[in-house]
Amino acid sequence: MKLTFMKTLTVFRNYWRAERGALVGWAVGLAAYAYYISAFYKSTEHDWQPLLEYLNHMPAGLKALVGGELSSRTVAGWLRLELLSYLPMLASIYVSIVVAGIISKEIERGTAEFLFAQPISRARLVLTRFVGLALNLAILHLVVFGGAWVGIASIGEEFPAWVALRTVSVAWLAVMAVAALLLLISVFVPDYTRTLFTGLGVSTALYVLTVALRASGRENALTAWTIFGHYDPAKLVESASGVWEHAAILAATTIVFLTAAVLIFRRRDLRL
Amino acid sequence: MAVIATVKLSKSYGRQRGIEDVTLTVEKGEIFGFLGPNGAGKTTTIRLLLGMLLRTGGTAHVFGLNVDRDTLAIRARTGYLPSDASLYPHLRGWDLVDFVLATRGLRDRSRARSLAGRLGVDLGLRVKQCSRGMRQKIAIVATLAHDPELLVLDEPSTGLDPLVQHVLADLLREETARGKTVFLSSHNLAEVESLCNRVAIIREGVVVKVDEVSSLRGMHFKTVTARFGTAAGSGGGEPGSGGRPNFLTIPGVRLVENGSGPAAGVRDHAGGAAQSGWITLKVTGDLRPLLERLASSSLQDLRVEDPTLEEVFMQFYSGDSGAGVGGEQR
Repeated sequence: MKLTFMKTLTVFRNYWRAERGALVGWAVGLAAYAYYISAFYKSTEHDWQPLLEYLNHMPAGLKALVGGELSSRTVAGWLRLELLSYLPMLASIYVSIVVAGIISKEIERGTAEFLFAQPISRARLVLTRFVGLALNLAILHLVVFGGAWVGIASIGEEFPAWVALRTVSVAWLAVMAVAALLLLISVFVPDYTRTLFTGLGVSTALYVLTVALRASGRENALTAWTIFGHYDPAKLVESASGVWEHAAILAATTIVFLTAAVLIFRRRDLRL
Repeated sequence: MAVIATVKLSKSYGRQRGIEDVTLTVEKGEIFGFLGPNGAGKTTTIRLLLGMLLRTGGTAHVFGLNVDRDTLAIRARTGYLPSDASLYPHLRGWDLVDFVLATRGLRDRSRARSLAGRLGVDLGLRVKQCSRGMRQKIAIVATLAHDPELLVLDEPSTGLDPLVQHVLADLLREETARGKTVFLSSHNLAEVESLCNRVAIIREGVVVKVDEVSSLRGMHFKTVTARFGTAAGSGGGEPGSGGRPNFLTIPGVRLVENGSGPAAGVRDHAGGAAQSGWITLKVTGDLRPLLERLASSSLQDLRVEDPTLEEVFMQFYSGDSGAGVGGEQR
């Protein structure tokens, strides 16, 4: 039991060390982005009318792209428009890069042979690294939450913390489900570059599909078939209705993809 | 009990050839050489033993443990040095050693420190700061750091200078003296010849020979260099042979080289270089018919040599070995 824990901790620590540089870079970038977007709300205070008109006259598709029916005259509407709508897409870029590194990067740079010569099971390796990814992703989402909160506070406005936390948490779950899907794909693609660009392509396609379906008003198909469909910042900002249902679906999706990835990876040759 | 035992172990990659019916037994305390050119199946065999690949036929056991079911237990007791090992560039040598130790529940760095001292490597350096030879030394230290019972080494001397190669050879001899087992895959035939008790030769995925190095060198052919005086022997000459008997009619005898003047290593009676005719023959099988005919010639000096391992190896790959294919040949 002690050895099992020690092995897991070793894999986790090793992975964390490798990823911490990228994590710090992304965290600083996202925190700055969240802070400036939030603080910028003040500058629209006196000139909101043209912006509002512009937004309200947008085609439905474009409105869907930026978060649905808009009310940029409130802090919640502003954050939804400028930050929360794009958050999963930004996080998906990070996830595509990191997931490609879990298996494919090890194989491409030749370190997999050293790694898999150690008494660490493939399942433990993948699961431990996925947990590391989940933690890093949670930190990034919390950083966005913190950056936005500080930005809003700095201009003397308020945005309920629990509303922001609720929205950011569902965004995190949606990106985790995408990460699990990309991990499953990466099991079949041992080449790092191909895994990376496949991941970017799949996550972007899912996001665009969600926006397209949302713009065309097919909410049922959207929620049933896409991952990002379970993350609707417009609804999350306005009410807590359905939050647990969407969160449960996203968590279950993550578990299903992750389990499939681990089971398949365990029974495949390592093409080193 | 054998440390490594495979029976008809096979791996197929669909259309691509892997290995076929590889049967090997490696005993405790021996240095076992595994020879073959690139793509012959050496690394595939090693990866099957360590559970990185899944076999498509046969069985394989390491320490009596099944390579399919007990992979982690096998790896815990094995130190594997991959060919041209790639290490994490951002880590220091000590990080790698600690990682290897920690995955086995160990912490003691003393053995790694001692190995690093002998190999002359600074484990405080990051891998990306190291030359190829230094990286190889770090990989060797990491492989040996947990004092494994079995060492699986794939081209271990790659990138090492001759001095360090000697240190490594000494280390491996010491390990086997302590009861450890070494499975050495190498292109360096001189290294294998000097280190190994037994070798297996693999060709196109099939083990064509497993034998002791000395037997392997002795059983296949011998190189015979003979120097003759000016007087013709009584064995019957042929035009242009300088009166020498025609040895090439003897079954299993093949001409390598002949000529006049000094023959390497063959001296005349006065100790000077032989100035008369000489001939170098390769003899497969019984030497007696040749010796009888030589005795009846104007033979002045004779040298009979076993082939080097390289010559044996090349014979297997030139396709004229006549060796059986597959199966355990102990």
